[in-house]
Amino acid sequence: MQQIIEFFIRNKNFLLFLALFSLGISLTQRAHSGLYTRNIASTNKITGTIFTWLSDARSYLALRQQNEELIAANVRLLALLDNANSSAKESIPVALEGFEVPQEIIDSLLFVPPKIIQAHVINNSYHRLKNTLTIDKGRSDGVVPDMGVASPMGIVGIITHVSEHFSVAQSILNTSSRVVVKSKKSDHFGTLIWDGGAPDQLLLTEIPKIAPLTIGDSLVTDGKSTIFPRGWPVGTVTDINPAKAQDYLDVSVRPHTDMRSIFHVYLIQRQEAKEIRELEKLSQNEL
Amino acid sequence: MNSSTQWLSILGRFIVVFLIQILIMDHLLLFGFVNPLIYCYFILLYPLSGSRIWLMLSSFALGLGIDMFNDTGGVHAAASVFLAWIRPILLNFSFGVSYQYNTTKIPNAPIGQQIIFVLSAVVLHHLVLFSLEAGSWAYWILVLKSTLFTSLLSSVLILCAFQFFSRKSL
Repeated sequence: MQQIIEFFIRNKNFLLFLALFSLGISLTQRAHSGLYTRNIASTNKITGTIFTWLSDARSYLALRQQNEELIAANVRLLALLDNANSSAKESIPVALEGFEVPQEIIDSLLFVPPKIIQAHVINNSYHRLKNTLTIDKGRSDGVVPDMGVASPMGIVGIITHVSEHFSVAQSILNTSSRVVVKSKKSDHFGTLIWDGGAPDQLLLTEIPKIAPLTIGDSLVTDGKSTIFPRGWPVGTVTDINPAKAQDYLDVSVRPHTDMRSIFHVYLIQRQEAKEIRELEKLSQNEL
Repeated sequence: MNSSTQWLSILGRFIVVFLIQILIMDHLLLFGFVNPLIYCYFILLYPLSGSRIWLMLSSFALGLGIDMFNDTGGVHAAASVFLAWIRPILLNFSFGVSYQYNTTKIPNAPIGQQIIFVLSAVVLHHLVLFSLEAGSWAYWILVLKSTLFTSLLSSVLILCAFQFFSRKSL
């Protein structure tokens, strides 16, 4: 017994080192696997408040650029809205002509708009392998995990952790990030990943060789994942190479958003997401 | 220096280094990916006569605080504890066996020894940090690249801080 105690006393430095080091590693692994403890994330009250001060101060320095981006986004969205409304309003009554259809059913046929929350990025990293964005809206504002995050220019990440007033999103500049995107011109889709390189270079993989892609093409989100609705802008194709796997392409993509300067963001939730997920789960269980 | 003023100076350095790291350094990015980590300064300059237990505990707290602000789990905490634990070996290696009996302070030692000490400590710290952060061997080139460039910048900043802030207090 005495020897055991003596052993502990003699090696107390090493044992303390071992204990603290493994604690650090276990916290890291938890962060990588997504199971955050609430106080080791920038969503807590103290860090969140300090980040809010900092980003308030910084946002004044970039007002001009932000305004220009917002105006550009408004123009694009107005055009989209105009298109959607006019085509739906024209085509539905024509298709239903001669039938007695209640107004509610006609309404339900119209496009279901995604729920959108306007928010600000208060902390943004882009030089690590697992980059994240901290956002100044949380559970009390209706934010839930798996909402999409988009800047006025294009998508930037996916919400992973939510606290009362803040939330953290996995950036598209995260080696664990996977977003299904397609070419604007066709319906061939692939997975958008990041390999840890430059912050303006993403990689589109698993896209079939027959997809009609050319350099300069725009990529948009594919509605197949339940996170982003179809058609949100992602980036442009900068380079196309044949992939190691046969019949596939490796495509370099530059995101529309400058990932180094993000302030205004939209948090997007597909209203149908829950229904789609439940249905898919049901069908998997039965197979 | 009596022990209560020594404690105050350690605490003051802890807070100043922490604030400089999270408020200034974490928002600096040189060449797009080099983010200087100057908080090793605290661990390197911890009094030579101080207890190793307290050094390790305070380094862990410092690292954990920086992790909280960076959402990095516990990588800074683990790397800082590692540096705190290995510091006596590095001191021995840089300043010779007799460093414990020296009354002189690290910033007053010959500049060559200082450079060896700071550079070896910072490289080891950054290597552990970036390896843990990557979490996989697949990114070893990136890990080495980050370690190399970030270490150079952090070391230069720490050595400058030695010359400007810690020299006169004999």
